[in-house]
Amino acid sequence: MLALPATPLRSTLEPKVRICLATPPQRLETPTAQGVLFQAEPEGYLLEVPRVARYYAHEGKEIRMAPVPGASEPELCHFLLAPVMAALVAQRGFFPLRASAILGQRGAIVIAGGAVTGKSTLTGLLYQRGYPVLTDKVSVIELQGSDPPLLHSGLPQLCLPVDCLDHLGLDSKTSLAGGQKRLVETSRGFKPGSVPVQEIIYLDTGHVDFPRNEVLKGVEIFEALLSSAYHPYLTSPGRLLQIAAQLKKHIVVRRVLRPLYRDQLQELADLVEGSI
Amino acid sequence: MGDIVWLASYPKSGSTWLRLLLTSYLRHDGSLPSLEGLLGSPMAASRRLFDREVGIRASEVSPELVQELRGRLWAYRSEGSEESLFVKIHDQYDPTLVPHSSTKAVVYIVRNPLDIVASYSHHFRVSVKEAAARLVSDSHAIGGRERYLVQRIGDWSHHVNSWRCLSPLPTVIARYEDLCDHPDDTLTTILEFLGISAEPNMVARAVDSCHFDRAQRLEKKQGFRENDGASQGFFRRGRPNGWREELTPELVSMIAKVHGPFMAQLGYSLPD
Repeated sequence: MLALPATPLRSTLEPKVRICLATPPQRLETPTAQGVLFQAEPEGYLLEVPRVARYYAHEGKEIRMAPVPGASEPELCHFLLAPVMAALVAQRGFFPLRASAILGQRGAIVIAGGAVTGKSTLTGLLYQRGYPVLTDKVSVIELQGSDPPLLHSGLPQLCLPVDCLDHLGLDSKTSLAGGQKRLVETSRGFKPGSVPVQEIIYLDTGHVDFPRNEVLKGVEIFEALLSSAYHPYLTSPGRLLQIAAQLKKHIVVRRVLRPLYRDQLQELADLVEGSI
Repeated sequence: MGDIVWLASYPKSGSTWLRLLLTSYLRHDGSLPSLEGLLGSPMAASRRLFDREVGIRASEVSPELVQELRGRLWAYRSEGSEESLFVKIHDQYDPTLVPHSSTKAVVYIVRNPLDIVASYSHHFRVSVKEAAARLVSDSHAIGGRERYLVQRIGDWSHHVNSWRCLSPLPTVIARYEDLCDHPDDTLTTILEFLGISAEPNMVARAVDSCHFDRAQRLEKKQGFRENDGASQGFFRRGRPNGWREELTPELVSMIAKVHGPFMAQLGYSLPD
């Protein structure tokens, strides 16, 4: 039995996803994408994380996992709930982004971006300023035709670099990434279920002296989504273009640029907060 | 299966200029290539490549596992490649990182550490004193931000020693100063070491079209993605012995004291 972090969402409905301890296949028959640790096909995703576990998500319904003896539970849960769950929700037709999200006055503010751009740290700062955290690492977006897109909440927690904890005045003993990160509970104001998306922020770094932002248009939205999509190979470019077009109809997608070699976190949070 | 040619060097030792020459010779019939798409790119420490092709983000796992997975990544890429892969690497030699079974050869380009100091200072926007301190620090590392993974560099002598003596891989050592003074001969030596026929006219053409000044002008005109914004220009001065104007006697003495033995072995005369 693996203890998953408790989610406040309780339901008597039939579960839509089954997670079980069972042996995943060694390999997929006809992978359409693969790399050092993963194989993927439209209805299957296989991931082997050394010293943690082998996972298999298939048909959007089931995840099988075989933990490595002695693997740490937080690490097991992290890979289960981030890359593997992201693959599973993509199989179910949702659009998973590498992003965290907070609750603004008119809906979810999704903070997407490339690796090590400070998405979770910015989210932690905004949490400190009173904005509830809806998810971290994976933001599951559901497009609804003529209605605004929805964000499905994840878990009330943030995964933060150790050096950020002091800065943010937060504390945690749950260690991830070989001790470089900590998992921090952020249950204040958490809202389970789904929330309309108000805005997507694409966090990036560049040759600027101070943080600044710009509203993205057309192909820029497509590029931002492509850069921050979880498992982009699971979404065809055509589908991604459709998603970009639908998002453009309903919400603002902004690129927030922060200086490459200066953190300026408070100024960054001020800039983002100004639009919420 | 393609084999890997590692283009290894301490940072700011001239490996990008060598890549320009190799790309010119091997891909452009001796003409000046664009700075984007040089042989050796993507670098061994590219974070984007790691995240995309490994399948999990480097930021999600321990530094030790990142190191192991980087080695597996290049073995995997080599297996999937029809031709030799040229890969630029700044890390100290580490058998975990450099898969022997996938390696064809190593070209190690070495430069006088006294000249590296000023170039390093300019590139990474640190003081000359700080740059000198890093060149004698065993724990020296670079990267770790958006574009590049953490690379364990160490001090200059250990870096040179790791590739020159500790690595069992077939290695040619090329001095940056020789590349400046005798570019045709040095490029020919490297090509022949790699089992590539060096045609004298085309070597001369590549050397002429990739002259340092032209590389500088090209960077000004086109920009250079690998210059990650830390410095104003990737190609700076380029000429050997600039340290005589740029380093204080104290810093020269510090570098010479720590690196003197290896400098002497590589033919770098020690200051009086």
